[in-house]
Amino acid sequence: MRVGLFVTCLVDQLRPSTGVAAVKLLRRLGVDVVFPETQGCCGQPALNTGDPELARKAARAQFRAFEDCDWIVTPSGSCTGMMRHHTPELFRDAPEAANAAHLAARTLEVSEFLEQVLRVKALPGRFDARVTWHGSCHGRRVARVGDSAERMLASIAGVQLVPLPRAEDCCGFGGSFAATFPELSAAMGATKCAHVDGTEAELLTGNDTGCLLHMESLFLKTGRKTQVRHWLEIAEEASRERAPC
Amino acid sequence: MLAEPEAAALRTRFADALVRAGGEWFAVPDAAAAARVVNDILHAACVSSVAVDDTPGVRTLVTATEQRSVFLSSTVQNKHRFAEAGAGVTGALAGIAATGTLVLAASRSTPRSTSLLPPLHIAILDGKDIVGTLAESFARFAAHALPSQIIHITGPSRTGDIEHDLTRGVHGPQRVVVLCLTGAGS
Amino acid sequence: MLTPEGDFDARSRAALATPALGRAVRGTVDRLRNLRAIAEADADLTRQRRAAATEARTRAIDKLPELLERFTRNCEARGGVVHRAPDAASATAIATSLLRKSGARRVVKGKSMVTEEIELNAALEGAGIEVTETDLGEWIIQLAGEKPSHIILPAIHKTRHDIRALFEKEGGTPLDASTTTLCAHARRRLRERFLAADAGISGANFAVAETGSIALFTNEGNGRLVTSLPRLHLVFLGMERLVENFADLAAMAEVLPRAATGQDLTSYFSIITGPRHRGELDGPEALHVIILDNGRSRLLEDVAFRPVLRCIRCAACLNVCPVYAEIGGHAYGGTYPGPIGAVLTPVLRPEEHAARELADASSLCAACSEACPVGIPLDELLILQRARNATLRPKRALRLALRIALSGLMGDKAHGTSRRLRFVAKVLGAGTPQRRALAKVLPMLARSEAVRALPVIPPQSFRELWKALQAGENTRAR
Repeated sequence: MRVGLFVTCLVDQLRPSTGVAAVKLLRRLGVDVVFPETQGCCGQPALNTGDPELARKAARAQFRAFEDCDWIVTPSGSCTGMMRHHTPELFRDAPEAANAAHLAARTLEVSEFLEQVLRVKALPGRFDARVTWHGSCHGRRVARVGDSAERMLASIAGVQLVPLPRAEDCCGFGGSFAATFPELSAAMGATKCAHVDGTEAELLTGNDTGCLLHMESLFLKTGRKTQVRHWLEIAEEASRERAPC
Repeated sequence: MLAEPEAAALRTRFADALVRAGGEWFAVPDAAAAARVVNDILHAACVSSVAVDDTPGVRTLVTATEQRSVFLSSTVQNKHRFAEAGAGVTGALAGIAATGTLVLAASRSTPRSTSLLPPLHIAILDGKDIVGTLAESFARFAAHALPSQIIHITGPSRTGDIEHDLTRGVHGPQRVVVLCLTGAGS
Repeated sequence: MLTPEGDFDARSRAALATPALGRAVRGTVDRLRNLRAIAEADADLTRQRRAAATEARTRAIDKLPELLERFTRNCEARGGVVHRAPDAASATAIATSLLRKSGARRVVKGKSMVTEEIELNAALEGAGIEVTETDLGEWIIQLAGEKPSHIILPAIHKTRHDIRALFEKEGGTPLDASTTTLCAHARRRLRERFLAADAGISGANFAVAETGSIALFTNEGNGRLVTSLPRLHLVFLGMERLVENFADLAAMAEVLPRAATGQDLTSYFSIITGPRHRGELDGPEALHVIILDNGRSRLLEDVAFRPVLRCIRCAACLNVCPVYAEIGGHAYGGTYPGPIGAVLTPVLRPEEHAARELADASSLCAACSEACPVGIPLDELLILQRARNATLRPKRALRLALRIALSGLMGDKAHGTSRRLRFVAKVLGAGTPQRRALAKVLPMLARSEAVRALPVIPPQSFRELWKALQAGENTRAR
C-alpha cells in the first residue's frame, strides 16, 4: 500500500511540524508514508478567488504527483474538500474527468484514513490536556469528513475533549477572505474566541492549519494563553511514549 | 368516520400543538357545556361586546347579559364594531392536529373580522373535524370553488420584532381559545 | 444606487465600529437558530420535507412561463386582475395608477421584500399617497427612515431603546421600553390606520397556479388586516414565487415556517382567492396582483444561477451566516442581505459592479447551503460569481501573485518555488523593517496587523525537513 502525504501549502510553509507529526504518527502505525515532491497546491485559493483555470492547472499537477499512490492523505479538511468535491466539478465533461474522479476517490483526511483504512479504534499513548475542537467548515460541509478526527483525538488516553459551543460556525479565516476583510475576519474570530474561552480548554485543536493559524494570531494579539495545535501534533506526541527509541 | 380511540388521539395531538403555540384548549361534551364555558370565559375576561358568527352551533351559544351585548357578525357593516368588541366567537371548518391549527373560511355568515379584530377569539371546533395534517385539510376544499379567503390560525398573534422578545397580540387576538366538542355527552 | 456610503468593505467596518449592532444581531440570530434546530430536530423528516419542497420549487421554476399563465387565468376567473411589471418603475407606476383611479389616499402595507426591492413607498409618497408599514418591524424601520436589515426581522439591528425613542417621537407621549408597552402602542396607533385605510398592499409568499390563489404566512396578524379591511387589495408577487397546486403549497408550508422562525406553522396562513364574494361583508372589493420580473427572467436563462429562483425568502441562510451575524444587513447595501443577497443582488442590479463584489463578502463556510430548505448551493454560486467577476474586472495584482505562487508550486519547480516563497515570507516576516515599510504602502497589510499577530515563519519548510525524515525515521519504521 503506497500512501502519499499531501502536506498542503500552509503546513509546508508555516507549520511543517504538523507534516512531520503526520509522517511520524503514520509510521508508528505501520504505514510507510511517502512525500511526492512534485506535489503543489490543491488549487483552492485559485478557485475561491475566481480563477478556475489556474485551479485546474494545480489539479493536473496533483494528478501527476500522486499518480502511483494508493491513498492520498492530508492533514487538512479544507484541501480534502477541494480534491474530493471541487476538483471533479472543475473537470466535469473534461477529458481529465477520470483523473479527477480517481484523485477524489483516493483522497482522505488523515483521521479518515486511520478509521476507514487502518481501522484504528484508539490511538496509542497518552496526552493529558483539556482540549476543545474546531473542525473546519470545508472539512465539515464540503469534504464531509464527519467526526473521525474528533473520535481519534478523544481516543487518546488523557485527552479531555470539551465540546465547543457553536462548533459548526466559521472562525472567520476563509482564505482570501481574511486578507480582503481583515477586521471582519477578526470579528468573526473574536466570536469564536469567546466560545473557546467558555470551554476553559487549555488547548484549541482542529484539522485545518488555516483556521488554527488564524485563531492563534487572534489569541496572541489579545493576550490569551490558550495554546493552538493541529490534532496530529497531539496524536504524535502522545504516541511517542510507545515509540521504539 | 374514525373510531373513537383514533379521534381521541387526534384531539390530544391537536390540544398539545395548540397549547405549544400559545392557544387555550377546552374539551366539552356537547353544545350546552360549550355554552357554559364560553359564557364563563367572556365573564372572566370582562367582555362587554361579543361578535358571534351566524353558523349552526355558534349563533346561539352566547347569552346577552346586562353587562354584555352580543351581535351577529354577519349583520354588521361597520368594521369599527368589531374593533370595539371584546371577543369574537366562530366555528371552524377543521382542526389540524399536527400543528394545533384552526381552519376558517370567509363567507357571508362568517366574515373575516370576527376572528381578527377583537382581542379574544373563541372557536368552537367539532372533534369530528380534526384531521392529521394540512394536506388532509386541503383535500376538503374543491379547487374550483374556493372561498375568497381560507385562514389557518395557529395560536395567538405574535411578534418577535423587538429584540426577538416574543409577544402576543400585536395586531390579531392576544388569546385564542378552542372549545372542542368531543361528542362524549351525546 | 447600491452603495450610498462606500463599498461593502467600508460599510462592514462601519458596522463593526458599532458594537451594539453586532450584539443585537448575534443575539437574535442565535435564538432563531436554536428555534430552527428544535423544529428541524428530526433529521429524516427534515430531509423528506426539504426534498419535497425542493422538488416542488424546482418543478415550478422549470415550467414558470406556463404556471404564470395558468395563475393569471385562474386568478382572473375568480375576479382578480393580474398585471405584469418588467421592472421596478413599471411596477410602481401600475400601483400608483390603480390607487389613483380608485381614489385611495391612505394605504396600509404588509411586509413585502418585493416592495422594498422596487422602493414602492417612495414612489407612492411622491404621488401624494400616505403609506403606513404595519408589520411591527417594518413600521419601526419606516419611522427610522431606514431599510430592513433582515428579510424576516427588518428591525433586527434596533434595540428596545431605539424603538422607544422612535415611538415616542411618533406618538408624542412618553413610553417605557418594555416589549408589552411598545407593542400595545403599535397596536393602538396602527389599528387607527387599518380602520381608515382605503387600500391594502401585501406581498405574497406563494401564488398557486391551479387555483389563482395567493398564500401568505404571517405571525402578527397585520397581513390579515391589510388583506381584509380596505376596499382595495394590491398584491406584489415576485415572478418566481409560483407553486403548481395545493399539494405543493402544503409542502412549502412544511418548510417555510420551520426554516424561518422555527415554528411548525406561523400563527396565520392565509389563502386568498379573488376579492370578496357577493354578499360578504368584509374583504376587498377589488384584488390586483402585480407580478414583478425585475431581472428574474435573466436568472431563468442562466442555468447555473437558476436555482436561486427557488428561494422562498426564509432567511435561514442569514441566520447561520457568520458574516451576517457580525455586521447585520445594511452593510450589504442592497434589499436582500446575507448569502442570498450576495447571489441575488447582482441579478437585480446588473449595472453595478459593487453588487457583484458582494460574492467576496463570504468566508465560503457553506453554512448557508446547509441551512437552505430548498437546496440552493449558495457557496458554490458565490464561487461561480467570483469567477465571473474575475473575467469582468480582473484583480490583476492578486491573480498575478497567485499565479506565480501556485504555478511555481507545481511539479518539478515546486522545490525552488517553495524556497523562494519562504525567502519572501522571511523578508516580510513580522517585525522586519521591510515589512514595516511595506505596510506603509499596502494599507491591507497594516489593517491586518492591527487585528492579528503575524505568524512566525519557521526556519525550515516541510519540503526541507522531509530529507531528514526520510534518512532518519524510515530506518526505524516497522
